[in-house]
Amino acid sequence: MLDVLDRLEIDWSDLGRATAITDELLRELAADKDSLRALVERAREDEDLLGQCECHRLLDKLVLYDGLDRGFRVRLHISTSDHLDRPHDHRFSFSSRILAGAYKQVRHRVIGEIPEEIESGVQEDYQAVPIDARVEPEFATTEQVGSFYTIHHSVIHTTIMADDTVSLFIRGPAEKERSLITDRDTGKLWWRVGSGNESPERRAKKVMDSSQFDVRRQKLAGLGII
Amino acid sequence: MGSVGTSQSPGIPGRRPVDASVEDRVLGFFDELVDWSDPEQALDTAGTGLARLSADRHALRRLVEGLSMEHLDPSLGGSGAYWFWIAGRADRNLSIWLRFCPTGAVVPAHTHASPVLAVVVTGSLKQTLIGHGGGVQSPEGESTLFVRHELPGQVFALNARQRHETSSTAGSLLLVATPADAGAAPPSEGFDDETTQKGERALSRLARALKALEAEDPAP
Repeated sequence: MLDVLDRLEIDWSDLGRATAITDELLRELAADKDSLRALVERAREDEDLLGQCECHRLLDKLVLYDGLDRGFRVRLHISTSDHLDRPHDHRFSFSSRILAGAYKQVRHRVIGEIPEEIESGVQEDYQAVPIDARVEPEFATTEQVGSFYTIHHSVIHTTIMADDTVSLFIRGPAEKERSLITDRDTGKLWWRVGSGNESPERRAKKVMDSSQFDVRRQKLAGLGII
Repeated sequence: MGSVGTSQSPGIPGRRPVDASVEDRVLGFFDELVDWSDPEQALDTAGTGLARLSADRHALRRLVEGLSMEHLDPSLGGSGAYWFWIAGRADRNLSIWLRFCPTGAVVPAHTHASPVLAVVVTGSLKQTLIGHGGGVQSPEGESTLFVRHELPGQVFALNARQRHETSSTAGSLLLVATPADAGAAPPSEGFDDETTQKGERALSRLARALKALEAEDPAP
């Protein structure tokens, strides 16, 4: 599998083509437990990959392979037991395949204007700023084990996951400096930015250390993923 | 061809259910009124019932056995997809349909006149959602937002604004819920010969597909 990843290039400007490539790759990887386990073990030992793994309130991210110079990065996502309705977009387009668990996914349209003047330094939910714009669902679905989709970076969506939902995830290169995140209960907005633009405090808070990684690795084994 | 309802509840004018007892069983899966203005609410209220109905092979077989050309609604089909109305109630603003694609169907980008809630019973549906993303640096016009593969058991809901294109595998079957007034009642003078021939062929293939499905996953 490493050979395949080392040779791979993905052009996300053609979303249909990117979908075809990532669908096949994620299908193969999901069915190949040995390769998945090897990638997790490799990430644990690789300082650069481990340094990119993150703990968030709603999910944890394990970076398994970084080929962003060729248009992609492979991650494993594990949901936490926090489940909030937070419509957001992403800085990149991506594909996802569900390995365990389930979730509701909602695609929203925006009613009103997103205030671009809010500073990029507003990166935490406790700093979030009230906005007049609101979102309205246009499409909703239940994602289950085996579900696959590709999503454009501009889509505003919510994912409300069951505990320990695990997804294999391939993201493309960043297409913008920041993406938005909102809370439907509070009507407030804050931004998400790349690791290079995050405050040192935020970075320190979310970077996963090796013992935290080991707990996630054990969870993946317990779920029969690796 | 007049409306048929139970003593408790009115049917839908111009529609005749497959069978009154089967219709009661079908509608029994839907105990909450659906808010069709919100796909998320539709998913939350009727999605579970639709998924449970799709797993009830006995009810599905009885539904298909009772289908005839008078249940076909060509106003909703086309491009190889056949929609059959099977049950509904005006006072609950609910219609239930079977959407069957005997030889597969590719339907170009379109919206539906009414909101739609669907579950894949067998086969698969690839759909591309098109529109304006709304996030940071969204393209000016409409673009491809989502490319999705819907699998058996997967439930999805879309409103009448959501444009999508779909590609269904040969033999794919969906159960669909809509507001009661979706589609058009069958013409009193009947269908033309071509529609009749195609519809009857679809019905026959649907019966075979369901038998195969039951053989794989028999009713308890």
